Amino acid sequence: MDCISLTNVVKRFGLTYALNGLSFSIPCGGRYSLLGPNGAGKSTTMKILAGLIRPDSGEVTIKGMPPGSKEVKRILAYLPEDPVPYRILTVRENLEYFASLRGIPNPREKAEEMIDLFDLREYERIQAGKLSRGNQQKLSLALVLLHEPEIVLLDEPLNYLDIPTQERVINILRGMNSTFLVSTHIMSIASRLTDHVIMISRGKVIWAGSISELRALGREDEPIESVVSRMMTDDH
Amino acid sequence: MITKLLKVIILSRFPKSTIMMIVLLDAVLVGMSVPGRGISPAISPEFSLLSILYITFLVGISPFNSRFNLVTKSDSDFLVMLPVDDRELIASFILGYFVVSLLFSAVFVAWFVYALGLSGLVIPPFLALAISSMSGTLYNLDNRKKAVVSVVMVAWFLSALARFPLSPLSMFAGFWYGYVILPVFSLALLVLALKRFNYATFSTMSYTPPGKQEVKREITFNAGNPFLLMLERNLRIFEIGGRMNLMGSYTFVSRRIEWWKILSVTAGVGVAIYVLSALGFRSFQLGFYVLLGTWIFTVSYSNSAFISEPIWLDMNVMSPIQFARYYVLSKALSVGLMLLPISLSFLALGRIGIAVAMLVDLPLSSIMIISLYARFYQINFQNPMTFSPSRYLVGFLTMIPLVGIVLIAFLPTPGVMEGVTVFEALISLPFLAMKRYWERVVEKIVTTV
Repeated sequence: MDCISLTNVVKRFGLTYALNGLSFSIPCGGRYSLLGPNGAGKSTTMKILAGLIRPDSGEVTIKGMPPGSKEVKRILAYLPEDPVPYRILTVRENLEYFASLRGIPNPREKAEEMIDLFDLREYERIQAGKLSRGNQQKLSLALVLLHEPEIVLLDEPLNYLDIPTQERVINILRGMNSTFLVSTHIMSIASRLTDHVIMISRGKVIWAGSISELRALGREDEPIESVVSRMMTDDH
Repeated sequence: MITKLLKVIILSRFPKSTIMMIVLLDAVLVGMSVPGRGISPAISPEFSLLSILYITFLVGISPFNSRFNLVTKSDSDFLVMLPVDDRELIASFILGYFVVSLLFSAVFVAWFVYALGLSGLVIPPFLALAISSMSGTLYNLDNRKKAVVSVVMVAWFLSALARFPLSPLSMFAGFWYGYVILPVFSLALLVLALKRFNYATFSTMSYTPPGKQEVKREITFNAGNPFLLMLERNLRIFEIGGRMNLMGSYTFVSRRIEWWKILSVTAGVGVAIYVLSALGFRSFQLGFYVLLGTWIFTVSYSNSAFISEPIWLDMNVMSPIQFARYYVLSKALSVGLMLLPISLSFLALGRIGIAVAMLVDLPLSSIMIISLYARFYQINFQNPMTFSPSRYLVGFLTMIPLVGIVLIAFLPTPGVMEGVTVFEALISLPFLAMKRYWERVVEKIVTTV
């Protein structure tokens, strides 16, 4: 069964086409990266899947349901690029507040669990606005993952994180049995977090397949970044 | 060079179209108020009172760098890096702030002219100079010291109401001294600002590295109902300002508070009103000005809506319309709860109209204002405050609910009270039923702000 499906999706902002007939699907349990150059339509795709914006035409479903519906929100997590939690609430308050909003039975206990999981103990009583950008990113990840979502949409999830924290987050995400769509323009992140790639440019899919298939498109000694770069440039 | 800097500083806050619009508005207002007026001592006591209150309010809040940012983050990131003499840069910041403050103050020039005749035209430039220089003069004081300065200045400016001839506003009480004291005060502040303001010190003070300043009293969220959760959050986190309206723009303030502190302030105001009334203070004036004051508070409180709200996170949990209902209603209820002691005071005085206006009509007004701002005047704390004619016009639209409030102040009959409540409900509550409206709000926020 497909957990994420887009068919012929078009989204325009004024005269500019952000998405122009975008179609792809991701089976439940799949781990996919959404790759593309700046302005390709990656973030717009993620926002449409999260139900934050409506497409002008085309069909989008999450487990057969429309994005943004209550049922979808129960099983979905969406992390935008450059997320900022409630700046004036502390780390713990942010987690407890959102655990309560989600109706999680023991919000305090859940907050504790996420604080430990993301190594935020040192900052639990610090206001989010006073955290470093990296710790804000960790807190944001904790906030979107606290309800153990079935489907996870992450837009540049490792932004601002130092290398040890990147490793920690990668391990957390790898340990989850969810369906993943990770938007990034960094190939190494894509290959660490996912096993399939959907490459888009100018609002359309230009290539889709597994990471090993992508590697096979290049010469033996050619780095995968170079293959991706060539494909994106060719499209332009 | 200073001209170039000045141009960049002003245009980085205001697009040309906004400046043109405000200049045009100023010209119309001056044109309407000036003809047929001579130079004379105080003419209209009502406009003198309004002018004194308005000017005192502006001067009182200026130490906290309200209305217009003296130095923005973009200035710090790029402008300050230019190879320009420090003095020139500082003078440009202050002059830029002066020009913008002048444009805003001039909107109220009619009041000054009605109060003082043509002599009222000298007020806006010196008022703007005082406001713009104040930030540069007091920038390195902590908030407590700024508050002390503010209180002293407010007392000095308000002393004109007691006909104190040495008040900077004594011209409104019929004394000529004010025409000397206000300019001298403003020019002295300018000289002080140019001497005292040091960009490196300012920058050092403004920079707060990611710290470990722990919050002592944490909030526990365990209510199961989203509305109660949002209400609890609104009652513990006080936000005000951040958008521009007819009276200028306000710095966005977001603070953790103890709810009882807010209630003590409003309870204090309530008691003061009761005592003043018992002492025989003119009842109509008291009701009118307190209602006007609480209206300004409601607008300023509503101004802060959505500025620090992480919509992306809320949308992970609920739909736009659900979120809007919880958020907007909890804000409106917070307004009502904050004004409750003042409202009770008027109720005890038998002024039912004013009491109802505060408890019902002002919270309803806040629903309309917040809803309009959410869609047509979106702003985020991360982005510098810029203004456009459309945003300015939305500021005008928020005056619509004021019509009902003013009506109640003048005609507090049962029929008018009911009519005004129906009017306020009709212009505000429909927003909470408009699903598509809030979907567009969210769409616009996540794609543009």
